[in-house]
Amino acid sequence: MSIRTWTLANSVVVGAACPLEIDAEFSVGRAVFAANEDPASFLLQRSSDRDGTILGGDYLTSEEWAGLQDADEALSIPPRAVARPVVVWVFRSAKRDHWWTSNLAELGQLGALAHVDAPRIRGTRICLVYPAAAGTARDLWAQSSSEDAWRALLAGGRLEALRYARRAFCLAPRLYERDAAMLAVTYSLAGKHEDSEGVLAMARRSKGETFFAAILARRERLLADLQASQARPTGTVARTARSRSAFDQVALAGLREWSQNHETPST
Amino acid sequence: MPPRDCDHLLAELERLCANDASREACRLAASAAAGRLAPHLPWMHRTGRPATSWRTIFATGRLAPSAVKNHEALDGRSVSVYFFVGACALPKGNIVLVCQPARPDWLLRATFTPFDTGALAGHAGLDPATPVHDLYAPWTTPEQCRYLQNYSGNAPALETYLPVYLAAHFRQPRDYVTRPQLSLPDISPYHGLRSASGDRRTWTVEVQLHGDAGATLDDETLLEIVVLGKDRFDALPATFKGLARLLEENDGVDTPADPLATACAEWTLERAEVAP
Repeated sequence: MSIRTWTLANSVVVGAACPLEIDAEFSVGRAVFAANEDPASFLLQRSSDRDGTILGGDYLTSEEWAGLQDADEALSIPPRAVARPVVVWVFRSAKRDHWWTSNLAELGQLGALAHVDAPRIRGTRICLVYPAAAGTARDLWAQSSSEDAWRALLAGGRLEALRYARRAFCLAPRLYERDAAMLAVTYSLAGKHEDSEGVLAMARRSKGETFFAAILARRERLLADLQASQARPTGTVARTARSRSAFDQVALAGLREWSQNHETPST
Repeated sequence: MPPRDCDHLLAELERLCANDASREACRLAASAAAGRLAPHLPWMHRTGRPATSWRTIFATGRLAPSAVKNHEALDGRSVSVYFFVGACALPKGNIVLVCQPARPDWLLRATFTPFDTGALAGHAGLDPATPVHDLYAPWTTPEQCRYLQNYSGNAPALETYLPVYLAAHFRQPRDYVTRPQLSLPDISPYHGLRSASGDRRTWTVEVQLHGDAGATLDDETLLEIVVLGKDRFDALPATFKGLARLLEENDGVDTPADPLATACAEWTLERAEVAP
């Protein structure tokens, strides 16, 4: 493979370094470019110059590029020329709700959407995004999904809450205590205690003891608030008959006790 | 896989040091630090190798061996699982499995080389300016095999070999861990292997775990799973989630360094420095 200068003018986006088929409802991947004059040369883009026209990154042979796709590490799209460097965002919906419809519309309004591809995988959209134009969109979507998870918990929808919490976790551009705590709680309430402990241990490994302690405190507050909401007289909180049966006081108290006794092991 | 000790490797390295004042000075100065660091360098397996999906690895709890290249087959090897020692030298893939370096049952069926064996198949060649070899171009498969045999040792010998290797190439042995993908040691690799781009795979120590058994990923094996991307963490089976360290994605278009390699290097040095 020859060493060459990669620019937006002499190359096109042909994929991204993230899997296509995966349960997560949102993925981010770095763009992969192919050279116009040498379609067997690829660049996993990691940087660009000040003007954003000259690209840097890891060079890939066609064999390496095919190998990454074969190993579920990357996805390919039809060649797309872009005006500025992009990142690739993948939206997925395992159900028919296509929750991402409004998100894509918002990206379009922000001028952040370079291209959208609809692969054969149902409910999936692959977006080439100008991240500067997208601004804080991911943060706001993550916050909204986290609030949806809480509302679902109050309504007694444990699996629905878990789905929202996983979405919030993946959408957020950073690992926030808000999302980790909500994910740990919703995994627990869905009966997936090992996943819940795994989230806590991951947070501790990733960001240290202070962050971990903050998540534990937040998790405890979430469980206490949930317990309190179930104890209030009808009408003080938007509740349904389903929620009253789903989260009885004994179960929530038991879960709080379980959580307090199952601190994640030292790392 | 024929057994082989590392006496010949050490002998050549020591002979080169004796004949090269700068290498010998480096070795003497760095020897103590290398001796402290080497035992704590974990074995790292990065996902992204063709035909080996990371999802299959976690679904089965096992690194399945892959078929070897032609020059390895000529050496009597059939299937192997590959690890780099103390560094994340494979530049692709979004998950790194950080493994215990001295698991006895693995050591018994593993060999090592002071370079990536796969690189011999196309990414690297011998520097004609290196005086210690007569294996100049053409770099044919039998020569690649001979070269592989010359620089291959049984994994238990790593304990002796690695500190000497580090000291003979790095004034600060921790640089072996932290050098970027395209970089060279302070003193040229003694084995004479070079890549056109200066890729560290020509000088990072690789371990090859032989046999159909592959590598089972249990609690005694895995030290940490470094994961780039929340979607991949989300997909991990519950039993592996607690071992994960998540790297936050940079949503900007610029990430100059390989974040996984950087994180693995930091982790390795932190762990080595707090070790008794």
